[in-house]
Amino acid sequence: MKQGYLAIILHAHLPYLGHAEYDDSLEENWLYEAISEAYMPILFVLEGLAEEGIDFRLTLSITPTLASMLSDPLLQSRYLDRLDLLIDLGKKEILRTRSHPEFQALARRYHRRFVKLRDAYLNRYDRNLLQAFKQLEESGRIEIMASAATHGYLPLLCANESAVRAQIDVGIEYHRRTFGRRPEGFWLPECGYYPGVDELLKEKGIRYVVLETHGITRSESRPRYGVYAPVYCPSGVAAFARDADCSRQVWSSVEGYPGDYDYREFYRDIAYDLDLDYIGPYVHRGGIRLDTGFKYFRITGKEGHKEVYVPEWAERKAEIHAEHFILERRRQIKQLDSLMDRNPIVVAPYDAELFGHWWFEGPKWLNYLMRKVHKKQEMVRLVTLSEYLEQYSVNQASTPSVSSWGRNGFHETWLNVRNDWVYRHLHEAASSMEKLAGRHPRAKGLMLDALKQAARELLLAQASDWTFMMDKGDMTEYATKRIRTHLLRLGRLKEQIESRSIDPAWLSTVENQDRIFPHIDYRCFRVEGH
Amino acid sequence: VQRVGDEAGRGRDALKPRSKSKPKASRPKGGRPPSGLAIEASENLPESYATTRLVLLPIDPYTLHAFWDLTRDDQGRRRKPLGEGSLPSRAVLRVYDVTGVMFDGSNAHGSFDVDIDIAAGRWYIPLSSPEKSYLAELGYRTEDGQFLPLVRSETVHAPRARPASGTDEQYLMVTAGEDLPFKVTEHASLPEDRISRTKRESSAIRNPDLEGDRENPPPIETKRATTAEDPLETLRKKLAGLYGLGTEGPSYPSPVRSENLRIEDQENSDLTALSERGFSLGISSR
Repeated sequence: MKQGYLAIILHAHLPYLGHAEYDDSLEENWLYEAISEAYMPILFVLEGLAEEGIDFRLTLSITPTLASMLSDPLLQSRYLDRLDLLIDLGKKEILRTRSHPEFQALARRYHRRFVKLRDAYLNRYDRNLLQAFKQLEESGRIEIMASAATHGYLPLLCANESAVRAQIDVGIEYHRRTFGRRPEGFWLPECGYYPGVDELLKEKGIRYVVLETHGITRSESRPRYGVYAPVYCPSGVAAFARDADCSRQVWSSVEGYPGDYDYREFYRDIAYDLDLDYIGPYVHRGGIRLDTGFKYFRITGKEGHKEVYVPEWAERKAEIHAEHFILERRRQIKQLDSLMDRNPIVVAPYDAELFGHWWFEGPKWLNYLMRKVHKKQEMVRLVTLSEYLEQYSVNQASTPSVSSWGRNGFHETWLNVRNDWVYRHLHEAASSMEKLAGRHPRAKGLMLDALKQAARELLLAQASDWTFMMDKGDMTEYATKRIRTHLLRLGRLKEQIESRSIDPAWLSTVENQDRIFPHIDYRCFRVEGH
Repeated sequence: VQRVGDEAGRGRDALKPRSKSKPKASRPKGGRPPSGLAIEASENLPESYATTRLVLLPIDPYTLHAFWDLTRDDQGRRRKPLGEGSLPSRAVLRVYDVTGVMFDGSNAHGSFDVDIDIAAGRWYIPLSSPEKSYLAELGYRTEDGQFLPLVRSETVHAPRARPASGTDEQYLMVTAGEDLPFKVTEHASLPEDRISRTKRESSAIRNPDLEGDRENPPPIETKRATTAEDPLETLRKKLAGLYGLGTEGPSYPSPVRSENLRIEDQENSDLTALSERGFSLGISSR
């Protein structure tokens, strides 16, 4: 019988956005929105499938910055505060919409939803979602990939090998501590690959990575199976590549499923439609409007006019789109079957935040997809990437091409006239850290604390998110501030370490704000010769 | 004075990305709140790190980015002429094609100069050929062609712009071991799995890859689509009936349909080409 594999990969990532220094951070709300709309709804889906004994497979990457925030007690309690506020808003909305039944039904729905989220967060997950993902992994249905410490874009950091090595080592070590096992896969931030990075991953026992399509199709020797089988890098690390059809069907905002007119409109939130007198207490204190999650309209069409959201229609569309996706995979597998002497694999990676946050119905789609594949078992089988490698241990050897899933497939998203100024500073900062680590191999006490903080500041400055925001142009100010602040903190730490005059009060302020990787080993920045 | 990146910027605008929008988990909402990152608010990052270095970063198959820093002494060398009575000079990046060689200063395949504004600290270098190794020197060139290099970069490689032609297939077997790293062994060929054996025995479709005749692949025919309705259409109709809605809405990408293809040559049975079909990088038109 014709058969092929489908590997769905969700990449869950947010940059480190904790701002312990004030209690009304706008950016922290991105985390809270993602928890409410994506991470918990995805968890509900996966746990529901598991409880019903549905044999599904999903590969998931949870980055260290996101995991650090999910397990931070301060952010956990702030998230609960946010939920309380939204539950309160729900009550008010039910009243406000009383003369519009179709809106009121939605208000009730959202109110129930936030109550349910709060209950689950507090009672079922005991505030820590990581534990729930870990349990799913232990059941063998999901596989969690590690990722770089702070989502550093490795191809543009590689002028300092120590920088890439530290991103990898710290990320993998954090994963082991958090999920209790050695990761098989490593999510390359932004799918950014360059030949040689696999050697560093191999040293840490990583078996596979995921690349953009041309990472494989343009590898050094032409891949016999295209993207429908992995290739082994010279190191033996397997490189899988993204299937272009799967990407478009789900990803594209123009022709992909999420643009369907029956789906919920992301951009119409009551935060922007209602008077500040009313909505003020539920948005940012300074009067800056931020999403509440109360969204009453469907996409409706290309024009500005929006019709009210009908959850049942949207749900039905999610089912139809899941069906369509499976049909397309069958079609693909049928075609590939005549051309391959093994079962093809179709690799479909997406940002997890697309599912539920941007595409509200995404988790439902995922739910239908998993159920339908399980029920029909026709041609398509779900796998994790390491399961595939267990079955096919012999693969073509080739050096993949430099690649990313960013604009135009290479590095220009993270290096162009809007963000290029950062690289000179990042390069110098990485060199400084190499020297510091080399000169103080056995630091203790305050010196140790300062060196650890220096390492954290460097890693935080390297996050690809800052250059990404500058490229988009809308978050430039925040992104610039973040890079500058982390680099300046590193610079000051360097001076204090070199002059052995560490300011403990200042250090502890900084430690409290940039509170990530408590167990970091700063010595991973050392290089031979320093 | 040319702004940094102007030249490259124009070139890149011409091939603006075909909206491959990548949603992120957040979007801006008007103004910014006051940030609590105030500790170092009044400080600026250094203008120079008092070191001399030149770093190249390849951006794509046709563009390199260079950034540099110069010590005060090296900046001062500008003022010292290249020799007594020498001609005016200008700052350039000299870019060498060092593909496959260990550069010794004279064995490059070729080189070209890019005029730069040295104070800018960074520049974009357009390349005419991908898949090559480059290194650069930053220095001054006089009108009569003398070149005084101040600093040399490491060698970098511009990526490939299209699939490699032909196959030079090698195989590896990787097995997990107790100890890190895992075990990698060379393998002569791909083992065929059970599916392939049954397929070969039962299928009328002949696959040149399986039969080893790569020079003269036999024509392959796949069955044409029957008249059965496209399942997607069925779904759309079902939907229209359910809600009294039209079938309009975003159009789905048209998949590559084997039923509609008459596979006549290697081109159509080539999985690398198939993988790239519908894949837009936006760079192949360059």
